[in-house]
Amino acid sequence: MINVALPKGRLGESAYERMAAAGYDCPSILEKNRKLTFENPEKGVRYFWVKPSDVSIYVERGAADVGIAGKDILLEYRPDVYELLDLKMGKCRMCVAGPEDFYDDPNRQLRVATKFPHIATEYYDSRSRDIDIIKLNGSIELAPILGLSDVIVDIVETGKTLLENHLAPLETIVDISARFICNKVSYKFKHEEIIRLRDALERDL
Amino acid sequence: MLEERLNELYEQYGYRKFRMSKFEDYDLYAQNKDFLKSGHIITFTDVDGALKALKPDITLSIMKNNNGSSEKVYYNENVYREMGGTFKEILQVGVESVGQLDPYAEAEVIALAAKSLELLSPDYVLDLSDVSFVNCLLDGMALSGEVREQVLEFIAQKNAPGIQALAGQGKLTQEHAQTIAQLMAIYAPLREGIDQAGQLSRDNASWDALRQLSLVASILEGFGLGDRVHLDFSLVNSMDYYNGVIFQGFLQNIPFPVLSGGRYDNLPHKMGKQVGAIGFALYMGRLEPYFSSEKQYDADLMLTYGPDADLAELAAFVETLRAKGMGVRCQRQGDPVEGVRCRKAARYTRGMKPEEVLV
Repeated sequence: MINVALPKGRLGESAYERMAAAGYDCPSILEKNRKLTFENPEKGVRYFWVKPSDVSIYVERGAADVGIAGKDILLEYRPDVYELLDLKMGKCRMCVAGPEDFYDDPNRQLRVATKFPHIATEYYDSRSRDIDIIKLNGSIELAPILGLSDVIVDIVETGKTLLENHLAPLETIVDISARFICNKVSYKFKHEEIIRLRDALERDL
Repeated sequence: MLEERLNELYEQYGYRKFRMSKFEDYDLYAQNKDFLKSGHIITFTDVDGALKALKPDITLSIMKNNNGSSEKVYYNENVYREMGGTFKEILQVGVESVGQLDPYAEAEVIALAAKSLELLSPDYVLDLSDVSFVNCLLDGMALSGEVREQVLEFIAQKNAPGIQALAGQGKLTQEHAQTIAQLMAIYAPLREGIDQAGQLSRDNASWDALRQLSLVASILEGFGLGDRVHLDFSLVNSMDYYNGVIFQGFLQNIPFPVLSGGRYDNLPHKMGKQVGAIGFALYMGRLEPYFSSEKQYDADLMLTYGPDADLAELAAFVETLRAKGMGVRCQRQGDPVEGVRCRKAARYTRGMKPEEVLV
């Protein structure tokens, strides 16, 4: 039995469709009820939904053998897991965004609001730019509008939200997509099952 | 006790127990910072003004005391390390073999690692990698320092898409990307894995590394461990500490390596000693939460007694129960007792018979 952690939300739903198409379906997952785990013993899988940023924790600690997590989460939290596949879905970019006419004055410390302090710090470190990180948990776009920060580091999918708030993506830090991750110990103890699942997912890419 | 069984095992192989004090000169750690996983050390000033440290590691002390002769030792010691933002005291059990090491000495330590794991659980996996082989392979690709570091990180994650992306950016040739992808896909019993790695080998140095490894594999077969050791090149961490074989042990349902070790000749060489060294450590302290505790009660019986009880008779009565192997807690009636769980509770009455309260 392979335990699969899926991220709640749109990404997780399309990830489940991928799994189902690869032969690991579990019809009970589509029923509307309060159950927390969904099992298909015939196919040897058990699914559960968790908060997207928690997928890597479940997998790293072995409560899930495998999981689907965005590259943004992996870069931010650096879990000690195997990253076996790029599922090429949930594609977006990690960007620096700010007012459309933003001028970065190198003499000033840059104030950066973000949900991803690790990614932002590393990015600006690599450019030797002195910054002040402001960690927020949501509504990041508000920060530059209210003058809380100069720029933000956030995920940009279409750029529509930014545009509506007169902000624009200024620099792309890294491309993001969903990854198929695996617990390092499960990889050893359930090697054949996990490789079979990975190969099935890879065939559909 | 698990530690005692492990110690017995090591003594069967003629390893001597190494004992050391809690404290060590801070200088030892300051000079060998590269060999410690983290730089956080608890220090204090001794009465004579010397700077001392609570030992974060045992290997360094064993090496320090070695005078160039052959040595086979084991230890059970507490180490003090930073974990999750605070200092923790962790019980470590380990084995070190020092001297002019031949493949037999190397295989013996690997075999001891496997047998230690077996004592913890028959369901174990010992994974082995060879740092020198990975290094040879990467040396042959002439990568820049930055790319090499990224490649090593991707190998540790078995991150084939990441390697592909590097090739896409032109930082790796397609051929090299292919080789690295094949390298990290290897996960097989040692002999089979060596054959697969052989197909990637391009120069003499990497052939030598594999030949050495296959010698170790045949000795491991002699120890009766042929199929229990797997080759997995994703164990590439602490490349500057280790220079040859490295290995990690895993148990089912424990999400981190419970044992890790390898060949670390760089340390004795840095200390000016012309010897090789190989060893491993088991993190006993971290395992505790994963072994289900058999103890569900503080005592078998909670015996309460009133103010009028004859205390001498009570003492004599309870001793007869204890002689029958029971654990008994005596408590004056009405005293507040919190959080104590006993299998059975009873009130002591005069002339009570053991049969009335036996569990």
